[in-house]
Amino acid sequence: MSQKILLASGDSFTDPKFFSSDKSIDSKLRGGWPMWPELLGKELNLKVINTGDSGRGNDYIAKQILDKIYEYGDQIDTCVAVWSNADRHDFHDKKKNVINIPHDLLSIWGKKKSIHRIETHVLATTYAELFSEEGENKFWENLLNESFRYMWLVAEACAKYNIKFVFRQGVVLLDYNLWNEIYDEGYICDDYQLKEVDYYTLCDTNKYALMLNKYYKKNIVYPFWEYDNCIASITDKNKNKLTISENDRHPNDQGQVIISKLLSAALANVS
Amino acid sequence: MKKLLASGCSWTDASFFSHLEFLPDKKRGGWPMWPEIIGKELGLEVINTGAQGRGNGYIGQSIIDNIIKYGDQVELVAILWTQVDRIEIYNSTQIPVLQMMAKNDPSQTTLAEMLASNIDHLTTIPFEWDMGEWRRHDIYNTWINSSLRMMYIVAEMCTHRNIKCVFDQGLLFWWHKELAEIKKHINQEMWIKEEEWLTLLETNALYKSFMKDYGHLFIKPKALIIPEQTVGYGFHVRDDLKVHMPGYLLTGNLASDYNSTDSDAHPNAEGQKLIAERFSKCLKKYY
Repeated sequence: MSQKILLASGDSFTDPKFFSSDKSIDSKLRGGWPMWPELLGKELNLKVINTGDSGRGNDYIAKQILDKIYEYGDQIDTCVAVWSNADRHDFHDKKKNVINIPHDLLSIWGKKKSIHRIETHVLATTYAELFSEEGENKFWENLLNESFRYMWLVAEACAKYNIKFVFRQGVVLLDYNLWNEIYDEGYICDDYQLKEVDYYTLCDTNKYALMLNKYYKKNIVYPFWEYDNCIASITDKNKNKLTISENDRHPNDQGQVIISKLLSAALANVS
Repeated sequence: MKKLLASGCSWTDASFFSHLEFLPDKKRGGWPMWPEIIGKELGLEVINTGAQGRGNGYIGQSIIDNIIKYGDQVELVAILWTQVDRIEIYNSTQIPVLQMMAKNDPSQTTLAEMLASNIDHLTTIPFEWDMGEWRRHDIYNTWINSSLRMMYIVAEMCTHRNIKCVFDQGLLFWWHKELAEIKKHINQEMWIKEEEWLTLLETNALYKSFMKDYGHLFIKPKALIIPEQTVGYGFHVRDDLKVHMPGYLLTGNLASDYNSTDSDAHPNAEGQKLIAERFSKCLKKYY
């Protein structure tokens, strides 16, 4: 019998090719260590399929997982998703088309020097224009619903194929503080203001989020949209030990070990 | 009352109204669309999310959201899927091939221009026809996967919940003639021959598993591959089923067909009845 599969996905917290952009540190400290899927796969004696990719959003993460589930079916034993920000999109699945809305827009507005991008993407410019015009009143509801819907679809697919699964939020689902700063600076109009209370109301009342809590409470940490429940809150608290540098808060080799242990414990809880 | 969830593009849109201003209003729209016809037949309340210009991503998402919203009130899901090359960007739809046709043929009012100017949810964000980090034909595989994944998800959700489900293909899944229209304007590395495209689809892992597991949900099981099995093909030379298609335009010449000042190839009231009949016949296995 062939070895069963651990299916893993996520963004840079999971990407097997991750390499820090902080050039001020030694290259050995910038990447090349085993990521949590590889550590976990070894522990569980499972063949690893890791579709994690830096910069990607929840649409990419879900699509990759669903495609593999439909392709490999019951050969998959375990699925672990470390979800990303809700305000990242990718179009036509092309890496160049990945847009991290707040950061790309801050670059356009000259508030931030983008270290990730060579050029400003046409989609980011379009978003910048969209945010300055009145008229869209369900932007955040739709955006969050998209992430929640994808999470639900992955959970349901795992359940249908009897795949053990665990979800954790890597970075926070949505950094409403950042969006409030952007609003306060006057870059976006009133229709796109996202108050803290509104963020929590949208998440608390989202149908998919409520169903995830109802049916898959053991597989997630509820409420997973809170910063304190995401992996970054753990690595941030021990930033000297678990993150790459002052300029780059991605988990380092020790951070990846901690993430792997955390996910292993979570899987033991759902088995 | 139990519910019928239906979705699709303009061929399903309950608010469809032809752009041809010279036609009398009663010939431009306002007739019952196929979901309303079969809903009446079956005594089901119709929730029709069909919308002009939309792609399979939107179509699937609108069905998923309503399955979740209405739960066990949903008795039937019926979908008339559309072309593969309509891609969702946030809550709008991008149609790269039509955009390019519009850009490079300013002499005629193309469908793309008409759609972009009249429909809020169609985006004018240009698609970049460059290879970038794509390998040859990656873009077509991506488009194929986006549609198939959505079909697969809907099929799985319905099966999981014992919801009756029927799929049909309205427009051709892939209309190669459209790409041929813009061949000289795109990076030649992105050009694909029709037979190559069909091979891409038939060898696609998702297509193979989807057809194995859920091909039976289609009224015509090879409708994604064989044009003759789509609803649209049956309409091609039937001016009596279209909103307005003068005989001299029924040549199969794409540029003429799209000359929106003269013609509108959308199904008219009779065309909608014909689509409903296709669904009704297939639904006999359930009723």
